[in-house]
Amino acid sequence: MPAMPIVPAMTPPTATPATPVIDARNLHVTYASPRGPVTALAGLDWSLPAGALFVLLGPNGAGKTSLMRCATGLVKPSQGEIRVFGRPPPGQGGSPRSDLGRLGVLIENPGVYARLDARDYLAFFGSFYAVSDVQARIDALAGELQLELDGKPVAKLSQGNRQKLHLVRSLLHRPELLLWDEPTDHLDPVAQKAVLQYLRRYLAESGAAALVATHRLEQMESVATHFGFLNRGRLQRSGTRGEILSEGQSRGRARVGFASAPDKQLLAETAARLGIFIDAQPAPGPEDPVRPEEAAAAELRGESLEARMPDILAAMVTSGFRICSVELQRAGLAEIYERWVDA
Amino acid sequence: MSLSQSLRIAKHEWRLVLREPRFLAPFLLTPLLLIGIQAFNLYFRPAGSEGEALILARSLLLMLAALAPSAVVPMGADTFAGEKERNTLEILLCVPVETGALFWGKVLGVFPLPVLIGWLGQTLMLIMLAERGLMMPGFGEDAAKAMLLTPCLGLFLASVATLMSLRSESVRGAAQITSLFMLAAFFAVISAGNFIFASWAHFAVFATILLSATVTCLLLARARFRRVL
Repeated sequence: MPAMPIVPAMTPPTATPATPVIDARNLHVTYASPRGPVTALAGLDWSLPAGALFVLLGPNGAGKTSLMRCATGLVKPSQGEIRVFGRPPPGQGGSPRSDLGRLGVLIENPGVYARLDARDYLAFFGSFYAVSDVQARIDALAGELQLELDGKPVAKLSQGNRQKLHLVRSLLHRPELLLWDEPTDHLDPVAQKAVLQYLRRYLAESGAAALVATHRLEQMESVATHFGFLNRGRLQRSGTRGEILSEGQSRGRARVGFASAPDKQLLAETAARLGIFIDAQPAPGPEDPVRPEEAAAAELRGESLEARMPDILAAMVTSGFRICSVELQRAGLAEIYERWVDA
Repeated sequence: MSLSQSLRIAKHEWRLVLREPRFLAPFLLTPLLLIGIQAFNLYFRPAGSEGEALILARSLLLMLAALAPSAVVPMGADTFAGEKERNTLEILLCVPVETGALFWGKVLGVFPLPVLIGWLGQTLMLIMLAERGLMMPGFGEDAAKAMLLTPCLGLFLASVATLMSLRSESVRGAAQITSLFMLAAFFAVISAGNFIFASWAHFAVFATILLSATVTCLLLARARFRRVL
């Protein structure tokens, strides 16, 4: 069945590639606490490009949720400024609260009105937006995100269904900017996939942008257009998906599988000639369900290994090694995350 | 401020209240009990005791005016503290509704229902009096004062409960503090019963004091709400 168009008619977002959807300059957020002020954001300079799916990564307390709260106007900056669609959020400089109608917000651990059923709950929030047919929209989104609308009070819904309820709520009015904090929390793997697929489709068809804070790195690796690493209120690194993931190439490691056991002496000589390190590894053997064809393996390490790999392989084949598999070992998002967050 | 937005918030509050019996059940019992006492007073009184029956009837009307609005206490305490406890306040603050509409919608959501219950009870008492042929000249004025006092007290308690709800982190805390004000208001009404019924001028003085306190509490609550934003 062909997928339904997500956004039948929508005012195009006013943000253009030249004007970011969110623009934070020297943004500081400090909370008062009994033990003294707590800094959540410490001079953040960052922007969210139009149409981007920006995934914000960082440890607990890094400032991700504070940034989202700041963008909605729930928290006022103690210094610096933040602009959403070119204006300060409502409550921070005279912007009308109607601007909030452009945002779809899911902030961590949202609550519910336990006695309402899911449809009533969604209809209540839908009534604040100019949604032409709220009930049809609820049905369509519930179908996409696998939310059960069976008339049960919200209190009786599972955690996963509550999460879907909040996701549907945040999408009801076809927002131009999604602010999602841990959107796939409590969801089963199938529902997680459905949510991320819908998110991609929604952004592609509507031209909207999304800022997603999460700890689920592996899920976001293939979905995001941009990544940012936040730690202790500071942005350690941000860039496009390509820029960030290409940092993983500098790991300089490759795994080579051999169809027959190589001569160790010859392996050492070849390594010396090519200026790389080769560590012979124990043969996985025919019992290995992943690599039954391999009789032995070796790890290659060296500078610019990826760029030199064709020449290295050619030299090894010429030397008589029977190579049956090659895997370039790039650092994944998790490793890049650790690097920047530790930094 | 948009009135339609306020009404939408108020309707939402009413829907939550009507689906949550713990809000209303204990507070419906008091008016029912007072109506029962009134019925006993009027239908089972000894012959020739009209005078005593009328004095008691007037006191019961006044007590109902003071006690029926007490249902405002749990509902008012829930307005903002309940949203904080449920983690729903931030969601509500992220919808494009004017803050004034949100605030007044909450106030509007808590005060009419208890006042209507009070009026309903007082009307029932008056019907019983009329049915027994005890609506003496002058009693209508006293009844009107008692009925006008009901919304004054309802508004006063709604404003105190809203203020406390904004200041407290929990519904229980807000309800406990508001209950103290409710008791104070109850004793003030009962103690000043004769003063209130003496003349319309006396009634106006009492009502003005109540309404001034109401306006003060609402202004304080509105200022507090602006700080929450």
